[in-house]
Amino acid sequence: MTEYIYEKDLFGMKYRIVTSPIHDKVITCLAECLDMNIQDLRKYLIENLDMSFLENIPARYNSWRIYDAKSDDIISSKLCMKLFSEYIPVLKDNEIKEIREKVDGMIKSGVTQDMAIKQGKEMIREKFSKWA
Amino acid sequence: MKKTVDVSLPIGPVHPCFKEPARIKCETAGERVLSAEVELGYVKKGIERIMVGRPWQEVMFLAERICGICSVIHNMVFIETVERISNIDVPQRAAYLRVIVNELDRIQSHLLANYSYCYTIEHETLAMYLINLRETALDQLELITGARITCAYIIPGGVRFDLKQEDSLKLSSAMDKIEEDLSRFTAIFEGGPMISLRSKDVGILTRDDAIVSHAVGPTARASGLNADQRTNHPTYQKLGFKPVVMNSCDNYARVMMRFKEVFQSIELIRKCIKELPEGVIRGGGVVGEGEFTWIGEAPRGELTYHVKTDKYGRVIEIGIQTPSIMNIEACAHHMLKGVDSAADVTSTFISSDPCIACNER
Repeated sequence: MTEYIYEKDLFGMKYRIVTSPIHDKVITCLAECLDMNIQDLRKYLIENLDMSFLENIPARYNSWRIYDAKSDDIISSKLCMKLFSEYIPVLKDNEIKEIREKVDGMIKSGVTQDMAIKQGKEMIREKFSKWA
Repeated sequence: MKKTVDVSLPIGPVHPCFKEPARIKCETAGERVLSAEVELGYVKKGIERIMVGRPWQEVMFLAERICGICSVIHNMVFIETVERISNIDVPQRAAYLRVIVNELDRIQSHLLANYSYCYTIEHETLAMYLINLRETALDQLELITGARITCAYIIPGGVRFDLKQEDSLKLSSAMDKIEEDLSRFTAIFEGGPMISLRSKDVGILTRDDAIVSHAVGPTARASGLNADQRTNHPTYQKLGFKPVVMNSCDNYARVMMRFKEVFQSIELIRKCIKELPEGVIRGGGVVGEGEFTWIGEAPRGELTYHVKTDKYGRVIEIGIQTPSIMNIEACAHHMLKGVDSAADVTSTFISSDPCIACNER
């Protein structure tokens, strides 16, 4: 998106959105899910999403939870893959697909599922930390 | 990477078609919109923060000041949350009166939304007819509650004023007038060839996109989702309420959905008047300590209040999720994408009935 000079300082307004009571609960859940620092996650979301999207994070998270409750794919669920690629699209499809392939590869090579998921979360955190 | 964008088209924050300030940034190729973003924050109130630490008697008035178009439902959902925290029962007569006032509020809100849409697509005649008819609904709100916008009608354990026999007759005749006039206006909207050109197959929100973005209210129901919180409300359940659903997913469906819901609201009000139980309108009760999340159906969709109170009835934590948050986001990232002309951007945005005041709570 084109950035206009007078829109350079939206950070403060966006920060107020992500620290509202409902957002705080949801973003804490997301940060816990990825074992990630909440401030880093907030910063990443602020830099990648517009205001209307930031406002809608709790509702989209609830939509994902409804989808996730019906899903049988444990690895996708634990890595919140659908959440970060479709419901809160902060990662590109090819990035999340690449992570999934690496996790599947680790499991095939004999790494335990828990360890592979831990590595997968690390990869997602790395993608986020490029911005943070 | 080479950009395929021709023009970055900013619309707003001040625009003749917008009731409230919002800024839509569109990336276009020719006139076709490739992507859009909505930036807000021009009228942020910080009302959730203002509410914290205040007694419920003050928060009740603040709640209905979040939005001037759907103030009754903010009052109703806040009070219903407080009632659930404190196990306060509502007399049946008061519960029915709440439905009457809530549906009157829905009628005036839907008429205003459709007025805005007609005005945006330059059908000013129909727009003026609709805004004039809205006055009839507001007059009825004033008749019952004593105020047109910030009524503060609903209180824990009941409502403030009873409906007198002569007032119920006036209300019934007003419903007849709204029904008769709106039938004519709906026919104008349905039969207008220019309206069809501007509205049909424009601003598509598919069912799947509506689910992902958690679209709510008439916006979701026009995309085939059977989502209406009134089906979970005890009084509406007694009245046998069933939501209206349409499947064409475009601007036309969203406007027609609101017309149909006005007729549905008229029927609900008539049923309430007919079946209005005798008895008191205030049951009494004391607001105590607790925490609860309650969802109501505002004219625009799901309205969620999460309230935590202390033993004196003071609000110590409150989170409000208004329906416009979901609908504006669904509009920006799904409906506006692929719109063929810049003129359709404003009409599509208005068709989702965006309430910036609710969003900037």
